[in-house]
Amino acid sequence: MCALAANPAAAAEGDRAVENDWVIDSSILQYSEDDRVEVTKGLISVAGNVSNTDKVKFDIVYDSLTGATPTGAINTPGSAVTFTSASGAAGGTASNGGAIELAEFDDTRLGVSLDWEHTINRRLRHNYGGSLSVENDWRSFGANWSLSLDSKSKRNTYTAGLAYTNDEIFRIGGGTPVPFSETGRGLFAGDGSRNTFDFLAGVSRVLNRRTVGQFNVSAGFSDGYHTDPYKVISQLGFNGIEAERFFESRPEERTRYTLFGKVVHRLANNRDTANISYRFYDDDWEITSHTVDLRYRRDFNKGKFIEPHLRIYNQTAAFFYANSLDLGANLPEFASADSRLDEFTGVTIGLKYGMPLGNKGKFRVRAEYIDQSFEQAQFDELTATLFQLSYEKAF
Amino acid sequence: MRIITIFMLSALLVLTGCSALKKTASATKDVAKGVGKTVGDIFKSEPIKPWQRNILSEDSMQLVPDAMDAYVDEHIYFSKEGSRGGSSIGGGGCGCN
Repeated sequence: MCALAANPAAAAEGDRAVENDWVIDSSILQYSEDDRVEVTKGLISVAGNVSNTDKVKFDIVYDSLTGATPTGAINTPGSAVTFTSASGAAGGTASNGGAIELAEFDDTRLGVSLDWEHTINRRLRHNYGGSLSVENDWRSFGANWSLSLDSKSKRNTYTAGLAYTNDEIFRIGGGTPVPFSETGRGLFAGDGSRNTFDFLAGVSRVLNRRTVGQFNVSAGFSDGYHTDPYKVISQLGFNGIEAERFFESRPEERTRYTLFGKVVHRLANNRDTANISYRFYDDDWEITSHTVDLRYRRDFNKGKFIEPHLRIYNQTAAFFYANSLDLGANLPEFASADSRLDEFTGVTIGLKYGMPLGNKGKFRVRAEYIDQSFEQAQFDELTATLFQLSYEKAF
Repeated sequence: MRIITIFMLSALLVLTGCSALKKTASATKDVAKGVGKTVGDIFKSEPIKPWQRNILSEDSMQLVPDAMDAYVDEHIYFSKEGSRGGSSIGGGGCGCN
């Protein structure tokens, strides 16, 4: 979910001094994978008070995506299997007669979202949100609502929320391939549709003058089309050469659970702040993941700061993940060679620098390096870099 | 004589080894105490008066100190990993590769 979401369980948020009525934040970034996907992203966020009891936040994001993405096929010389097309680009057969493992694509995405926070009384707040995202081969609509209650002492904030998302999925030109149909046959069904419901309950607490903590429990249930209409899976013969190629097939339901904890602590030197979080995730596709995120910020004079970042992620494989299928064996009910469903470990390291710029303005720049190492996938490593410039101005 | 030398060297080794071990154990104890104190400081629960919230109101002390970065990160990892969510709720999907 590309959550353009607010932070529903932010204890200290309600106590944050409102210095200005309106804030505009903007950002431009370049995400580049080695020989793969290139994304240029622009974001603008406008937030402010429309009355003593109402705050609004409007976000708009534009993505330009180009490059190549793995199809899931395995390139073995001499394969005569036909691959109909890839996302936004012509498919075909590689020069060695095997499958094209990487499909070129070119896409754009426009996303908008609106959040409205209404304060009912000194302790109780509603937050309503809506979002819309459109691509050449995807449409998504989302709505969410949450309620936050502060304790009498304002040390604890209890939050409960729910969200609904509807996704419409189709290939460029319309329709989705029939799951597990041979790619050469070109069997297509209608557009895919998926409904997702998410629930979250959380508490955040001011532990002491230097520490804030947060703990969330959430669950999500989705029903409908979960298959990637561009991904395929190769069936290999006894000689190891691709004998057939199918469009992938995934289950039509998914249930997810997460536990999330975060601590923000100002160290005794009064210059350093540690922001540490851990997430445990589990779903009925048998993916279990652990995520640890650490940001360590050092503040300097005159509002300048530097912030190193480390994130470590590990997940198990989905029960239907397979790099390829064997000829002669019965086709399983579900199978996907999408590396995002493989067992893998990801590490991110990053560095951010911030400084005041102009009247009531803040400038930030950050660079991140991401490395993913897969257990079985055809491409066993993915590396990417991120470079982002942001500027915020208050009025 | 040889037996006495071996015995003395062994005794020396044991004594210095014990001393080194003791020092290592002591250093480990100090580190553990330091970590314990830091963890204790972090999770120490104490009453807060409104005028004692000056540190808590600073940007860096917010649970999400930079919403723009948080959104970007969530979008990237949603697109590149098999799991998602946990820290917030809402938003919309995308077909990112």
